[in-house]
Amino acid sequence: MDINEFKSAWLQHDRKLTENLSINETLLKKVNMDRSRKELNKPLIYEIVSFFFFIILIPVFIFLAVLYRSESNMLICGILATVALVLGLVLCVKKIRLFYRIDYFNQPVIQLQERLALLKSGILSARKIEVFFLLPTLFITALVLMLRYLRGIDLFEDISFFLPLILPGLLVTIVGTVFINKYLYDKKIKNVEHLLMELKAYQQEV
Amino acid sequence: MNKEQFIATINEYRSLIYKVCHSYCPNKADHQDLEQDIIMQLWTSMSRYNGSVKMSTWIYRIALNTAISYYRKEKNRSHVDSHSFIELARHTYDAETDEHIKLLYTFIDQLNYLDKALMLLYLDDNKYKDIADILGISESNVSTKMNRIKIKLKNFFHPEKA
Repeated sequence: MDINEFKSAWLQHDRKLTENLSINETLLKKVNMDRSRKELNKPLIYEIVSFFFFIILIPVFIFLAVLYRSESNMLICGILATVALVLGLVLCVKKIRLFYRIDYFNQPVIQLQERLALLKSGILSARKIEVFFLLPTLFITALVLMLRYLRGIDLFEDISFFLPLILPGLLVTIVGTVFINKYLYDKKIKNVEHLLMELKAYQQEV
Repeated sequence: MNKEQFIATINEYRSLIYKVCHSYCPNKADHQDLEQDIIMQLWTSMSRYNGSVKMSTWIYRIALNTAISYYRKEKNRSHVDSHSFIELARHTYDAETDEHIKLLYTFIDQLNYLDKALMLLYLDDNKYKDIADILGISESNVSTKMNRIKIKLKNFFHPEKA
């Protein structure tokens, strides 16, 4: 059998399928498909919400940094928190841009797969920075500044009392993130990079 | 497009969706999951169809993209209890009993995820130019890859001549 015979067998197969396949209309009508639309948009909505969250928080921490400018420890915390938030905002904008570059409807298969892989790689790289730097920095600086502002407690005055409470948590977080990074993000990023290389090679191969 | 029109469109292209699902996921549970993903993706995308390309080309793009993404996801997926939206009346036609088709699906199963798409588009009588547009590669690239696939196909069915 040569390729043309296979092709005609396939076209016959297609005809038979068309004759014998039926769609389950009742089931299709019953399914709330609009829910899937929302599900697909969830990651983008999450990034847009985060964007506004950062936009609101940046002036708050700038205000706290200015308010406690005479206390060097508080000023450093304020600056660090602001830097972390600005970085978070930049990552957020980067991810939103990657989302908007994806056109599921008009892009050829390989180009879309490439953009999806770039988005995944962007999200994973951003998450590494978020988990390693952004979250711990924000957690500690926000705790210090908020306690000072809301309760008047200066953590630096009696750091020896608070350190035993904070240090074990910090240690567990660091070990955990190193572990997650090694076995989750790095592996996934490697897979995505491999996919991108495959797609490039497939496009260029003649 | 309302739900009734959407169902009519799915009905018109039911064999295309079935073939893509069967080529990427011969396993029944995966097949059903992928079919659901494709239909959901089509529903989500349908409002953006502007008629600039043929509906079949457009459905192919979305179905193949969804299938490739699904195929490349990590293994050990958990299957939700899904049902088939597109059903084959097995008493009238069973592709598994058609030896040539069964072998063709076995052959397609051995191809990589991009060659699977290429082979499906070729078997469905798409021109090289259309295949190139759908996949996003040059026509000469399609031709080269198809020649390689044809050789593989020949070796698969006639290993003694290889």
